[in-house]
Amino acid sequence: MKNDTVELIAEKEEEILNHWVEAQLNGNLHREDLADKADLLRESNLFLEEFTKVLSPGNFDVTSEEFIPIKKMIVEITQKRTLLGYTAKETALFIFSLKNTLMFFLKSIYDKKPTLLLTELRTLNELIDELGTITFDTFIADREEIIRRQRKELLEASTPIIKLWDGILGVPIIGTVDSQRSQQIMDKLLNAINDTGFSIAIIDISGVSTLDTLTAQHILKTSAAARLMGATCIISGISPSIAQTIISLDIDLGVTKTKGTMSEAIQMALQIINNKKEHKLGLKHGQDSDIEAGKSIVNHHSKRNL
Amino acid sequence: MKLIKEKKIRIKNENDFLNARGIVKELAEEIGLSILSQTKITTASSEILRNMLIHGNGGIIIIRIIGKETKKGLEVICEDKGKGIPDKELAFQKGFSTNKSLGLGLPGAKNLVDEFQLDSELNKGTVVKLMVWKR
Amino acid sequence: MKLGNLLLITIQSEIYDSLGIKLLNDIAETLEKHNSKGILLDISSVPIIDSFMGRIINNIASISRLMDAHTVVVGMQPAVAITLVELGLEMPNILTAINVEQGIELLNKKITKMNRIDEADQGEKDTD
Repeated sequence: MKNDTVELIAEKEEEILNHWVEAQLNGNLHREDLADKADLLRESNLFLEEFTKVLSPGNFDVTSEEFIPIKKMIVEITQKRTLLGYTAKETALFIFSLKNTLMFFLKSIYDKKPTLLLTELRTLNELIDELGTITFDTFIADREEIIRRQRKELLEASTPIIKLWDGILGVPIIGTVDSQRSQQIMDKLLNAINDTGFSIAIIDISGVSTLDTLTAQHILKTSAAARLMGATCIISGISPSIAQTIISLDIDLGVTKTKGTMSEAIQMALQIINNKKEHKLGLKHGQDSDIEAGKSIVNHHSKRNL
Repeated sequence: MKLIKEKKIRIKNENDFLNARGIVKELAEEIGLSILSQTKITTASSEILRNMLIHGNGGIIIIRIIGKETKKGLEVICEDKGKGIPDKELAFQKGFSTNKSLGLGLPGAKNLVDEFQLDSELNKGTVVKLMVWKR
Repeated sequence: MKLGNLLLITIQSEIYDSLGIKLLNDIAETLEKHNSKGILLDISSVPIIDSFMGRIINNIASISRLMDAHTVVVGMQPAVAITLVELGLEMPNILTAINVEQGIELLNKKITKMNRIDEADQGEKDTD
């Protein structure tokens, strides 16, 4: 870039600013509903100031250190505009529109030298293009951050552990389950068993669209781990297609109990609990003394700390 | 990759073994691993350390906290100068054992960690590297 | 019907090899001395169980089985349970319970059942 160009832009900064703002207002680039004219003027002024600062005859490398402040400012402007409701296109056009204004001013000094005008314009174009695309990058990065956060929240919210009944936990699994999520479900369920002392967990997968080998294995591992802790897992809601998957993938269900529907699973769980209670009642009739005897020995040996 | 912390312990008897296991757990806690991950790496180290005591006549354990980009990891290296493992493939088969144990040590330990590496030379010794990353 | 005696063993620290073997011997002796029919093995404060320790637990169950008693492992921590499954140690032959209370329930049920079978055997012999 020629020194003349740099000097011209620095000299006529105010004129350029007015021309640029005017062009934005006329070209419908200004969103009256989101910001007023003063905001536009302030943003444009800020950008142009930084832009004149980084302009030098030699350096157009936007990755160089000199460009850090202006890049930072573009990120800030983009984030502010995104929050206000500007689209990515509108914010990018804000920066791209400076090209037309600069072209208008360059014409005046390079009027007689069209080739020079062309090269100067090309350099400026490239530079502004580079800076303009930062708005896209910022916009996308912000969106990705939002998606990531929402995904995390969804992940946490989507695996509730419900106390269905005294002694029965329910885990409805909905949507797609990847290995990260199934790992999380596994952790959450086992901790819930530990915290509540509930001995039956019903894992309902009727809301699961597809089940891959890894997820199926995770569920079975959960079931095996729950058994080691002293709880029983019942898997309910295995759809015909998932049943076929399990068969075709040659997954061994092992000792895991399965039921077609959630209601059947609850029935089964209640039966298990009732069996326990009946037994307890049965023992209470006329055998209290024996239980006492049993307990005293338990107490005796509980003093052994190994 | 940069080394943040390193501890070296000579393993000769059961006390060293328990001590080393405790340090693995301590460092796993220090880098903020979940209780599950702490348990996994400590159990895996326990399997390898026991192998070392039984087959390698003891050895050295090196426990390192390692930084890579923004993440942290725990590396456990167990070295012995024992008789080595004659058939590595066989050693990784579940249920294979030379001393009536359950034969779950090596394959089990491999399941419990993110990275696993075994180098063994007959009559020279065995080096096992375990690695877990904080996600 | 007679309710069998129960033995509660609480393991409070990490178990290491020699202690594990000592535990195994102690349990066998105590079973014989008290003619206990059930063992509650409370491991709720054990942070690490590796394959050796798993083997000890398996052996306690097998030995007690031979001596006509049931073993219930009580209160295994979630992280320990997952680790054991990943290790491939699912211990299908071990009875488990979430807490001591449920463990006692389970043991009583098992012992009752066993006694009933014994009685039934006795009945058959009587009619012979």
